[in-house]
Amino acid sequence: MKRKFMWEKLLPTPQTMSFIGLMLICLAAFGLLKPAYATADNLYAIVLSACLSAVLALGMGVVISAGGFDLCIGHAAGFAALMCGYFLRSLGMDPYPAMLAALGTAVLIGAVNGFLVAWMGISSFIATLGMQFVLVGVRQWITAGNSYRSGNTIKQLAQGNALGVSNLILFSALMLAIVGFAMQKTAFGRKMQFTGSNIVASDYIGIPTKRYTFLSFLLSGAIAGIVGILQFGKLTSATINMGDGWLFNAMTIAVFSSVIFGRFKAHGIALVAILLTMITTGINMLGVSSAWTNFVLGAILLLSLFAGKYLRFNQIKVRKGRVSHGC
Amino acid sequence: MPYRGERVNEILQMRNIHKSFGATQALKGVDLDILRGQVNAIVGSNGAGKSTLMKTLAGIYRPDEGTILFDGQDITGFTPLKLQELGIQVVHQVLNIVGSMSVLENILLANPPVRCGLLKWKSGQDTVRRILKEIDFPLELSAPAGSLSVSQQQFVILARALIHQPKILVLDEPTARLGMEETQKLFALIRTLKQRGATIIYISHRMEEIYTICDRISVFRDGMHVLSKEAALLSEAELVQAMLGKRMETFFPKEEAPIGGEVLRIQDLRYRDRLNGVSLNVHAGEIVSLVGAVGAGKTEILECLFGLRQWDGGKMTLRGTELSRGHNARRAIDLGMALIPEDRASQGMIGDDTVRANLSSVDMAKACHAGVFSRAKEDQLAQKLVDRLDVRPNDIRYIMTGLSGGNQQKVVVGKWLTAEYPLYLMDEVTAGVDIEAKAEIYKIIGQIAQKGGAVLLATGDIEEAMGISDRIIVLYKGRIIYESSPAQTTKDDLLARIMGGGTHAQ
Repeated sequence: MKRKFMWEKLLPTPQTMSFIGLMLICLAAFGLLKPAYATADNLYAIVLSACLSAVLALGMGVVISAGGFDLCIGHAAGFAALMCGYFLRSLGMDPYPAMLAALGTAVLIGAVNGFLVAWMGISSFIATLGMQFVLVGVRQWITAGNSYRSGNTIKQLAQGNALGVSNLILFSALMLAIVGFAMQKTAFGRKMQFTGSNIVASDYIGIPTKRYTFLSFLLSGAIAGIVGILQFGKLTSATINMGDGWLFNAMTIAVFSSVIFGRFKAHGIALVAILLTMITTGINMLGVSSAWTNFVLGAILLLSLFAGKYLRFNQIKVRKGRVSHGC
Repeated sequence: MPYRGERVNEILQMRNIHKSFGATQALKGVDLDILRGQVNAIVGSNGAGKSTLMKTLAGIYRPDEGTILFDGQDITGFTPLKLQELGIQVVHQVLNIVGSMSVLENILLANPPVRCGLLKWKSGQDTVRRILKEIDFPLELSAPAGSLSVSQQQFVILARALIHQPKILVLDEPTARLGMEETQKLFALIRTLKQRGATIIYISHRMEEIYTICDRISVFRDGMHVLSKEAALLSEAELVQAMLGKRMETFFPKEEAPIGGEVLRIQDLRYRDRLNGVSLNVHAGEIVSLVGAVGAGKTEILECLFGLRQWDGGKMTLRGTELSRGHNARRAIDLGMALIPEDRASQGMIGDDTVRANLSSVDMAKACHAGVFSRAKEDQLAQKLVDRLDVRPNDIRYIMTGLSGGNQQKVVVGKWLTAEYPLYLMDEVTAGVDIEAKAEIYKIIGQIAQKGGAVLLATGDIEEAMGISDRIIVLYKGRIIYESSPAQTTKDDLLARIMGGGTHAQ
């Protein structure tokens, strides 16, 4: 039995394999219709545009695995970008302190969410939905409708290259690796996931469930802050509507990934983000109406929820599959 | 009312009722007659089938076999709504109250007054006032039901059942949440209803109540109806004997363990109205059983100890350390307590995770290197426990919910075996567990005691208490009323005491 474990370990899980298969089908289908789709340049562009969505979904994934939802994660990221611009331009701060202050703002948003959910007992849906409206109001008030330019330092941070690979991709990969490691391999992550799976049973084994709920929101706030700042550099300017619509993407990716891969998996989030971007890019390149993109993404979200019921039901019976944390 | 034929004395006749859930047979061919215009008591230990039978009567369960006749009419398989229209009302043990709705709305919930398709709560006001006056229990109609005390909520539910002027009223443990005075009100109400010709089915664990209010007593045991007699003709001793029967002796591998020094001392513990000054102690190597009916306070003692409830008064000392009131589960574990909770699925395990993750969930440090899980260490820890407890299937990667109840419970117990805790608190540790797993768990309890651990075991199963404990403590309504070693008492005596009767034995 021991020996069998050894070589089994080298193979990706059945979920990962079938997922890569799905990506290849997507590549072949769009490639046949539009040869420009299946070029290395285009695929690199797809990964580049998928990576920040993946990181934002990472934050959402952390909150979901701790048993909540963070509906303001997109606006928190946008708000961090705006605040970064505000600190730079209106307060005249240097780029690095400004970024740090913006990150602090995002963490504070997460802390307020976490406090409301963990200690005030407010449903995470309601608390974060409320926070989303607060942010939309406050950004109007602070920026007075101005947009801010990022300046070279921040732009360079997001748009630069190292070893021929975009910094954005490197940053994202690093974030996925760190958070994935913390959530899948450490006692911290295990306790966070227990809290999400069964909060009562977690209380009964002495896990400080309130603290872990709070921490999940704090973490998602921090991740949102980082994404916001990188977006700021990538777009080179922060406008008032920064962050609108980011939630949908993050949510779709996080939910899809947790349904397919069973629980929090960083590589799952990365794969789902890339697949979804492959689909939207493909639709765009075919020149079909953009209404189709929304239709397809919405349908994927609903289908994955539907499939989730079936898959989870099946997993109970799976004995030989890998059905645990961190494979 | 349609023509009703000859007025038989039995308003309800149940014939050969069978009901199974998976492999467990809850009802094994029950024949029961309920007599018109009487208060019919149904008694039996936990798991005897009382509640299942009442849920079958209410139309919530459909019997696998058998028929139910109501006034000669076959009502088997009727929907709950249809049965209510016929005049059968069941007040279940659970308080199904909608907390955010008013008292008025809660009482009228089942059949809200409707005019032209619109709800007209107000038009039901007079009826509700009349009913509340009848049960002599004034309540503010506009108050949200969630703001009421549990005993007031109990009366709201009672009023809801009375609105329909039931012909048969089933009361499942109605006094479990009531104080003295309220119980008297309930009894007065039952008498009034009886005078009006209604039939009452009364389920209770409390001897005094059964003999005060009931005309006839039917005893259930292991899914069977074993005896029915007029209350006046059935002695307490006979009743207890019928409840216990001659059951198969379970194998209790009690190991001799030397009793050491005091591990736990509880003095005058008070918690709301559930615990009224409980004092007890447990020694190293000793197994102490807390027995009592539902609501007697067993679970409350364990959960106060483990920091899951804020107690109101008293002093608890664990190996010389006094427990502070701001105590929580983490600190309880650090002080050396382990708790196996009452409800396995919701409190005891992470159901959608693996056997391995559940086994390492308490003592994560033992499966980690510096906070990072080591697959090898975790596998080794889990595999050792799975082998020791004989968990089937012998696969640590199995998802918990896929295991049988008995095997789940082995894992729930097993996660506390990574270290030797000085005090193990166990709440109904063998409830819903098959015989093999039971034996396995008893073996583990014996081993814990042998290694000098103290065990405080809350149980409703008298055989279990008699079989494995060194001392038995009987709780009744939040007080200790009796204490004995198994050798110096009998099952009959214990059961009688649990039900608040019994001074006849010894």
